[in-house]
Amino acid sequence: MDKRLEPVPELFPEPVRAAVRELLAVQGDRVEELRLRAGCRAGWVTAGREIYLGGPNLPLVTADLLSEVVRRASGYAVYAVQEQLRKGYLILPGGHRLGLCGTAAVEEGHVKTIRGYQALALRLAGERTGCADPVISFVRSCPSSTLILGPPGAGKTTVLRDLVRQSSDRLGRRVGMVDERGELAACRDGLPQLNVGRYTDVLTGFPKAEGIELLLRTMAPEWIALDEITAAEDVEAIDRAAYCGVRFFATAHAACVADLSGRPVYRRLLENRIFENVALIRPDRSIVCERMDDGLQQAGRSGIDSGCLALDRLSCRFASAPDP
Amino acid sequence: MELMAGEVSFAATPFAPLCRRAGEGRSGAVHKFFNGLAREAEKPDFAQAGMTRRVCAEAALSLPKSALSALERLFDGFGCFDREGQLRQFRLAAAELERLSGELSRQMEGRCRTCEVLGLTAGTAVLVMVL
Repeated sequence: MDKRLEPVPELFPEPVRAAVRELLAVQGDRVEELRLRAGCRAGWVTAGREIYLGGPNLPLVTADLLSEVVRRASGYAVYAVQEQLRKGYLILPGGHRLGLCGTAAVEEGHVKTIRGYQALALRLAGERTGCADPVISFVRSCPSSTLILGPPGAGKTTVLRDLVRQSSDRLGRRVGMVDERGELAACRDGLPQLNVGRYTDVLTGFPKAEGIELLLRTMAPEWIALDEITAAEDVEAIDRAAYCGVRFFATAHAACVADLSGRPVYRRLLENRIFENVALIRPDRSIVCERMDDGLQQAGRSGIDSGCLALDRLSCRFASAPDP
Repeated sequence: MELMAGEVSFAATPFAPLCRRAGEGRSGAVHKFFNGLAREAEKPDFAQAGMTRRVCAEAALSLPKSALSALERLFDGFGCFDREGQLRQFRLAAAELERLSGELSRQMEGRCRTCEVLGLTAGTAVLVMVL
């Protein structure tokens, strides 16, 4: 079993623990997620398909089991993870992410925490060395800020991590990383548990806007890496930092550039041409890299419904299909 | 107690490293107690109920019943609260232990005086017998 997967079985009480341990020992690199739903059989996800975990004798998942998993995942210290609980996830040793579904405990109109868990989704962090090869080749020829697009579960974080690693190790660039949720580098006691390169400085747990300001003030990065730009203040901070000469690697949920241009949060980024390169991860995990030139931005602004870019206008195209 | 409250308040340190931090610089049974708590929390099948009593026994930490109860209330339910709740638990435990400590001090004082008087009486009696 991969060393990063070793803490995973310890999250579960027996007999689920034994089933998880066996699964990870035999099929570790194929397992994308573990899924538990109250009243149902536990399952695991590979290549987008969900398969039952263990044999038919494995008991159904209970609400108590879900609570116990969350307790273990929190290190028996709710106060240490209350902010994460409020947002519906926990980051685990190894960079894995535990998504939580349940009943919201609301105070004064804000979600305080989640209780009465109904389902958990444990997404296993994966390092795929070389999956960003097409992107790094593109960035070498066009060294501009690069936005990685794809639907949820496409592998944007995995590609971003490898891109940062290669920029740092192969190109010798000084990269500052704002790892807001601890998924990119999965730092533990200061040590990244996932390889992000030897010239990479990591801020863990910082909101992106604050992290960008801090990196600019103190670490003199050449590139800044961010995962999932979703908020207007993130976009503002990127905009400000871009004028300081720093370039960005970032990810966003979108099927294509046209998707982005329909959302007010991203319009500013597109209009100011902060990201001149786009790497699009397709459903088959192939990566298409292209320049976000005026013509493509025009296509984005007019909201073409083709669902993808005007491929005949690509200045350069790479395709690579990492293993599913 | 203050150290632990500080760690929770400012660094949100999880239970096992928090106990190890509390045990640093201590010696004997107290050091063993905190290290024992940390070891319990790191076990695959951590059973928090009854943990304090078990660890006290292993560390040979001899405490009055009421002090043990106060520690049980704090550690057997540790980590089940949000930050404010956890700090409140610390304050309650600290207040209870301080109260018990005050009581013990008064009892000790009383016993010391009794011993002093007994000692003086015995000494006088011996002197009288000798004379």
